[in-house]
Amino acid sequence: MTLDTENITQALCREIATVTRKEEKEIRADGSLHDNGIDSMSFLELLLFIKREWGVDFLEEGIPPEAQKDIHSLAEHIQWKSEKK
Amino acid sequence: MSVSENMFCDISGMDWMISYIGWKSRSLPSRSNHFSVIAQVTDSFRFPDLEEKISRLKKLRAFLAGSVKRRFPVWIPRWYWGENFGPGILCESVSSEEEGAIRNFLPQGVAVKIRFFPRQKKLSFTFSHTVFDGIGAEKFIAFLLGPEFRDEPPFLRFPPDIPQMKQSGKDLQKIMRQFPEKKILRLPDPGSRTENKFETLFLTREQYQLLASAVERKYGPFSFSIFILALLLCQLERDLFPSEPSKEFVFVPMSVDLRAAQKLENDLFFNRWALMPLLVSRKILASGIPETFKHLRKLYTEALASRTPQTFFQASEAMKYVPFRLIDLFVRMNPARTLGTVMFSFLNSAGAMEGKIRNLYHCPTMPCGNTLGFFANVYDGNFNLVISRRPWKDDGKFLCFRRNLFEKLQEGEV
Repeated sequence: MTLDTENITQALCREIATVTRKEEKEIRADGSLHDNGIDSMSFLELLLFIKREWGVDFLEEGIPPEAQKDIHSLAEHIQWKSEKK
Repeated sequence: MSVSENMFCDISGMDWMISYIGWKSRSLPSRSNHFSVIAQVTDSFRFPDLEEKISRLKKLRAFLAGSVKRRFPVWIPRWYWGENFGPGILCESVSSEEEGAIRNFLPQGVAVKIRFFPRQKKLSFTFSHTVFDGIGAEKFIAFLLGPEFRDEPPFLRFPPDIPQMKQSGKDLQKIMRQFPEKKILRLPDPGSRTENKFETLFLTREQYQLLASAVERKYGPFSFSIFILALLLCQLERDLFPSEPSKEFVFVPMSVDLRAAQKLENDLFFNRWALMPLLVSRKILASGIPETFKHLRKLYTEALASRTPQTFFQASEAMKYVPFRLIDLFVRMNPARTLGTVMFSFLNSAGAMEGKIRNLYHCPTMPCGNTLGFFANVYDGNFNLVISRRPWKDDGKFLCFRRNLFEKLQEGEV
C-alpha cells in the first residue's frame, strides 16, 4: 500500500495531540515538533508511534535535521523511508 | 458547609504512594513527607493581596485541616474534612535574613505553609506530600497568584466508586519485582534523620541555551532531560558511589517529565508523574555519558513501549488506585526495596503566573537517609537544579561530586 503524506501528517498530528494532551486543532502541521509542545518524553512516544504505525525506526539514529522543520517534512521523510524499505 | 455534607473526599494531588507505603505519613498532613516550592517574585507581587486571598479560602482551609483514613474494604486512603483541627494554610511574612526557607516543617493541622521573604523577594511554599504532589503544588500556586482566583478552588471532588482490579495493577507489580534487592546500590552512609539540605544551581537563559544547544547537537533533539539524568548518574558513579562489585545497579525510583501533560484530562487528579522506575547498570555508568545516554534512552523507550505509565494515566478514575494497594503489599513483603538511591524529576517548563513569578523550583525532601533527590526544571528560560540530601558523616565526597557536577553544567561540558 502506498503511503500518502497527507494521511501521515494527519496521523502524526493526532498522535502529537494525544501525547501532549492538547486538542487536535491546536496542532499545527507547519510548526516544528518543539512548537507543538513535544518534549523529551513525548518525543520518545512519538518515535514509538512511528515505528508501530509505519515500521520506520528512528529510535537508534534519530530524526535527521531536515525532517524536523515541521510535521509535513517529518511525514515526507517517513513516507520516503517507508518506500525505501 | 458542615462536615457531614462531605464525610470524606479524595484530594487532588494526594501522594497515594507515600500514603500507602507510609514512610512517615500517619494520617496527618503535618507528619507526612513535605516538600517546598520556591518562587522568586517580581516587584508587582504584593503580600497583603495574597493574605487577603487566603483569608477568603474558608472552605479550602477547613478541607486542608483534615486527615487521612483508609476505607474498608480496599483501604484506599481517603481525606476526611477537618475544620476543627487547624488553620489548614499558614501564611506569614518573614523579616529576618533567613534564607528563603527551605525548611520543610509543618505544624499540626497545616497542609500548606507560605512564607514571604521580602528582602530576597522569595515566596516559600511548603506542602504536605500527603495532600499535594509537585504538579498539584504548582497548580495551587497558580491558583493563588493567577488571574482567575475564586473563593473556592476547582480541585475538590467526591470519591470514586470502589476500584476493581485489572491489568494496570498487575503490570506495575511485575515491574516492582524486577528490582533484585541485593544488586541495588545504596549510598555509603546509612544517613541520619536530620533535616534535608539543598544544593542549588541556577543557569541563566543564555547559559541554559548554550548548554541545551550543545546537548542537542551531540545527542539529538529533545535529549536534554535524559542527558541531565545521564550526567548526574555518571558523576555519581565517578565521585560518590562505593566500589562494591556486588552492587550492580542504581535504582532511580522516579524519573519524570511531567510537562508532557500540558492539558490535564482531569483537573482533579493531577498526580500524573510517570511511574517509571529505572534500574541502571553501573558498568554502563562507568563507560561514560554517551553510552549512559543511549542506555537511558533505551530504558525510557522500553518503559514507554510497555505502556505502564500510560496505563496508569489512561486508567479509569477507580483503576488508578489499585496499583498502590498492590505495591503496598509488595513493599510489606520486601521492606528494604522501597529505599531507592536516586530520585530524579525534570519539568520542562512551568507557566508564568500573571507576571508575578520570575523563577520557580522545587525542593523535595528525601524520606530515607541514604537517598539523593534531584529536581531539575526550566522556568521562563532559566535552568534550575536542586539536589536534596541529608548531611553525611563525611561530606567531603559529596561536596566533590557537587562541585564537579556544577562546574560541568556551568561550562556546558557535554
